Amino acid sequence: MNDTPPPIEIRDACVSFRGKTVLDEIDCEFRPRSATAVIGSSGSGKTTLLRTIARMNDGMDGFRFRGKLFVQGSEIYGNGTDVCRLRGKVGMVFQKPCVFPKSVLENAVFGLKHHQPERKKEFPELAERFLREAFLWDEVKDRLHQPAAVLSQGQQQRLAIARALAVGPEIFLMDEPTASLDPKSTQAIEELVRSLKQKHCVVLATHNLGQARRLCEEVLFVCEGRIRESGPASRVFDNPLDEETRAYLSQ
Amino acid sequence: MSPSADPQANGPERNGRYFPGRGPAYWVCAGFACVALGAAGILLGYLVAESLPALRSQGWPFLLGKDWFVGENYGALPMIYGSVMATALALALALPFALGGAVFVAEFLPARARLIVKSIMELLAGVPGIVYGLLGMSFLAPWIKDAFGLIDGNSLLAAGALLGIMVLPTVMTLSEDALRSVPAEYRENALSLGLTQTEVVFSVAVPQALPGIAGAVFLGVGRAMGETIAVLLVIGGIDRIPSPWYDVFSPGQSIPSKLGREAAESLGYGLHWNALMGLGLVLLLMTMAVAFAGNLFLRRARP
Ligand SMILES: Nc1ncnc2c1ncn2[C@@H]1O[C@H](COP(=O)(O)OP(=O)(O)O)[C@@H](O)[C@H]1O
Ligand SMILES: [Mg+2]
Repeated sequence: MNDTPPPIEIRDACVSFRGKTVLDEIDCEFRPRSATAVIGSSGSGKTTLLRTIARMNDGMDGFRFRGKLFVQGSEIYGNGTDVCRLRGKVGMVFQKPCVFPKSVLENAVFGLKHHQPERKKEFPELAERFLREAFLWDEVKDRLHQPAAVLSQGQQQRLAIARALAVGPEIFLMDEPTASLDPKSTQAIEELVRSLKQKHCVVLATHNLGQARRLCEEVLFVCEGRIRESGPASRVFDNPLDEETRAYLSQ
Repeated sequence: MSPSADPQANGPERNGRYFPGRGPAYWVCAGFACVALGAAGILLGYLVAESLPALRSQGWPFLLGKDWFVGENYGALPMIYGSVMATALALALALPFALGGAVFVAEFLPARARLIVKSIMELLAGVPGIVYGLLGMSFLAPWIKDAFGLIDGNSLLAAGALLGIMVLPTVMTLSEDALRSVPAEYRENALSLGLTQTEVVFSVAVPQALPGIAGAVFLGVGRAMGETIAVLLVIGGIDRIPSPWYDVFSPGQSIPSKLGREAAESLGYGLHWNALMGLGLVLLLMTMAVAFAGNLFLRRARP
């Protein structure tokens, strides 16, 4: 065992909305500098798991969390957690691309502007840096001041990723980021995940098994709110131990 | 027959541009639109025609004159002043509460409490002016009289405060609708970037709802400017600009309250009638200016 705590560690967690249990007996950890796929059919609880890690369910009606969830060693559902700081460390990309009705440039630095307003002078530089990291720079460098809404869906999704990158998170939660995109944008995002996982801990919810196989070292199979199987991607895909997993993978 | 000569054909081509065909729906709706526009045009024309004798006999002093003595001269300035002042007071008093309340209800209140507050506000928005007027007469004006030690509580301040209370529910509930109509995903994205709830409200929700909020405010201004009976009962009914001009504790007169008081007795003929019609025209132009300013502002507020 080494000393640095894992980026995310979940111990016997249970999530319910208005008394209805959505996730139960969740027990897992995620490794640094690698991508973990969360797979499972729709309605199995992938989105809820990711949102729980960023405390994005707090405002939901009747949300209850039991168990322990550590991000970089500190318990986030304990007393005195600074939720805004936590979300600065845990970036989230949603299934549906969503850009603010502002220019491309303003979108790229939107989060940064609130965390480090004193660096206003550097924003154009920083925007370029993060747009490059999101593989979007070449496509938008001539229209930085146009409304972000004119970009294609795939470009908007990469802009959302650049916007999240700018805040400087160490953990990236991506909830089916390519589910509503065309093949070309999907490819661009997959390339992006490959480069993100060099430095970050990436959690990728997807029901595209090929994508999980291509991008991720670890796999977590979620079924009806429980983790049915987890382990290295090659092992889980080639030799699933669980009956349910085998059925899901073979469909 | 070439296709472009037949306006009924679908997609006639003119110089490389295509136009959709015009079916029955087009003509029926166009007909109704023309009737509506025509009615507004006739109204405006009638007002102009009826007020022309007064405008001609008075000249500019009609707008700038400070005295209104029936049979001698007709100066509209005190009434214009009263309308502007009462409306401005209403806005100054109501906006902080209406907008603050809208933000609070839309962004911070749990769903059930929000529904209760909303239904109360919508109920209040529908209460007729005369009811507000009676309450203003029996409670607000006496209260202002005692609180500020005045001889008479009926004043510009009473009218402004009463108008403020009247437009508050409308402005608040419409602004709240505008805030609620900003999709939740924008808030979620902003939250996920680590913004605080306050930052989300003021840098995401409010800017996106601004056109709707501005619309609500301009609707409130329009209602305040046109309100007759409630103002008539508490404004004092004296055609005078107080000195100093900002002395809101003095009685005054607004255009609608003047019309409400004098229209019946002068109905139909004489310069007095023409002068009252002139006042109506001025009020119409003022509300049109408000609507125009609102549109201009909205166009600029849109990203
Ligand atoms: N806010 C909520 N309130 C009640 N039930 C919810 C809520 N969010 C999710 N659920 C339920 O939790 C289950 C898992 O949903 P979700 O996490 O979105 O699944 P997935 O992302 O795998 O499709 C679903 O049955 C859904 O109805
Ligand atoms: Mg989902």
